[in-house]
Amino acid sequence: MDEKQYPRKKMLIVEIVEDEPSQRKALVEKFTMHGFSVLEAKDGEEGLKIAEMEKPDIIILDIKMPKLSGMGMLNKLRQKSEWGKHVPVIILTNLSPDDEETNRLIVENQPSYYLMKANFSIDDIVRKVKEQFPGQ
Amino acid sequence: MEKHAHKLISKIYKESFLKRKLRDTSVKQKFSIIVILIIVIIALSTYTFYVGTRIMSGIRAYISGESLISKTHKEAVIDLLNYSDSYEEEHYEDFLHTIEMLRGYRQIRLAVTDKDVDRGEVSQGLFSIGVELEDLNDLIFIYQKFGWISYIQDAIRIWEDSDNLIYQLEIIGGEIHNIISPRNIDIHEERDEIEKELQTSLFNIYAVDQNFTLLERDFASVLDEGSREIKKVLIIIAIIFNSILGLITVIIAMYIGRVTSEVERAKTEFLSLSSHQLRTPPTSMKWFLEMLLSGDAGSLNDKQKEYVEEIYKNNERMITMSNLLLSSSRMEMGVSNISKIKTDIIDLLKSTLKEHEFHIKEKNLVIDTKYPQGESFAITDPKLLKIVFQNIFFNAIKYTPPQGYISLEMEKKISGDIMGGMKIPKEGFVVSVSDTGYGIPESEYRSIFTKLYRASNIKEKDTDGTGLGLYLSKSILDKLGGSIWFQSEINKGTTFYIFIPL
Repeated sequence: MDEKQYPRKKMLIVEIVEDEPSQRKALVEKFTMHGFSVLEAKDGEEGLKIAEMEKPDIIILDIKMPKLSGMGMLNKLRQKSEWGKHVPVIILTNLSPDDEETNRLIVENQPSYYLMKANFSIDDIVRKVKEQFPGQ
Repeated sequence: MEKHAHKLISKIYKESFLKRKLRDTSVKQKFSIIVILIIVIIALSTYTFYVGTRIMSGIRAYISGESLISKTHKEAVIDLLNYSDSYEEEHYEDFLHTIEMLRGYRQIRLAVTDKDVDRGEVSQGLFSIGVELEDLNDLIFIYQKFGWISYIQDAIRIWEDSDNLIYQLEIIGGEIHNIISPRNIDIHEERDEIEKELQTSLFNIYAVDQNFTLLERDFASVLDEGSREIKKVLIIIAIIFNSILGLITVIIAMYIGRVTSEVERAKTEFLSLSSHQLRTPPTSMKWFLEMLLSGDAGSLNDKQKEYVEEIYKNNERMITMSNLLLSSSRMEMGVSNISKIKTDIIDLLKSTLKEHEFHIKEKNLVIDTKYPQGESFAITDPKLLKIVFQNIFFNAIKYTPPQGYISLEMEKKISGDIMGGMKIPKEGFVVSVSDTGYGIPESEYRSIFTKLYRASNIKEKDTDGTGLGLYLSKSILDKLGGSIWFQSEINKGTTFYIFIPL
């Protein structure tokens, strides 16, 4: 048996912030199956805390959540630290980006993507995340 | 989340009765209320104006009447003086005739102020003393509406006082008549005697005449002050009245405006919330079904795969349906944002076509495309236009049997060009999508664009469609200044034409 010394590939950390239990579960399982280290949070407040503590490589964020909405959390994230300003965030929601309010928040907080959950297969979501880290 | 929706619904409906009534009234009803209010305001203003003119008319009648009367007073005095000078009975007749006229005026005053007097009788005699019926009516109007004002009371009292003077004059006239008539005026001595005896009477005539003058001056000042006061009061009433009406109108308008915008906001919020809610369970289902199909929970046997695919397909239908419902509700409520930007139509077409690649391959359809040379930009909303293209492609693919043929052509057209039997109104692009599908029956040409309509010939073949696609496409194109039409032949095919202005 060859024992080649490869530097251990670091597992990418993805944080999933989603209040719907079924959807959160599906995402957590799928990303785990694809070799990610997964953090989960069920509202914006928890999500913010975990993000600041663990500093995930990418955050998947829902918008409509109790306590602190996705946009609220994103806004705080972008303003609190240098890291927060640059961490890629994919907004995954069922809220149409058509309302003026949502549009304004998107422009203000600069997520990397705004995806409509219902129109994306879960494989596509994983693919989109992997696209952010070519070569890993 | 459901709690939030509940709170919103109860916010919309828990208002007070009036608010709710206002909210429940449609725009048409609100408009009718405003129109009615305006009519009421106009009617009230007209009535105010009418009353004003009648008052003015009445005052004029009174003044002209009074000037007539004072002239007649003078005439009576002059007649009597003439008689005292000439001793001729003729002049006494004139005097008596003038007194009759004064009596006539007294009747008029009584007709105005005393309800028991027969007005019909009085009006008959009006013409002979130079008063018009119209004047009598105006005077009656003023007395009835404004008789309580002190100035009017004073004016009438002065008028009544003159009765006294006329009566005194009559007596003096009688005395003078008694002095002159029995005597023979041709005899010189008799005339000297008459002259001597008339001295007192003459003196009395002058006294009465002076009193007439005083009365008239009183009357003039009462009238003067009175009409000034009335004018002031009318102006104040008009200002107050119109201000109140104006204020009420403004308040109601503001209120309606506020309620309307509140309702709009609540509608928008409700729409976006409910569509979000509608999408939540199907999303979870979609992902877990996908994971099942991918074998993430272990591999499925063929039958299991088949059944799961059925569930997945139907779930996708539900998602499509709620997307369409949201878009068309938005259109209908006028809540959809249209943001027009410079859009590359060819790009849009190509990307939309790509989305349907899989479906096309599945049905073994042949696609032919033709794009114009050069620029293909138009100022339009790409989001909305994409929905139109998606719908048309979806239909073309869906309603064409396998091994069929679809052609997509885009051309630049100018005003006056004819395409597919329709005249192009102005410069723009026409996108035509032709298929070799089932076609659309001629009798249903107009209905095909209505909500939830599905042509009879495909309803049996395919239970899948929503009937919303064409309705939505037409609404969108109407909003973007474009248009959509088609030509079709049963079982041969259909060509849809989409016009997009530059």
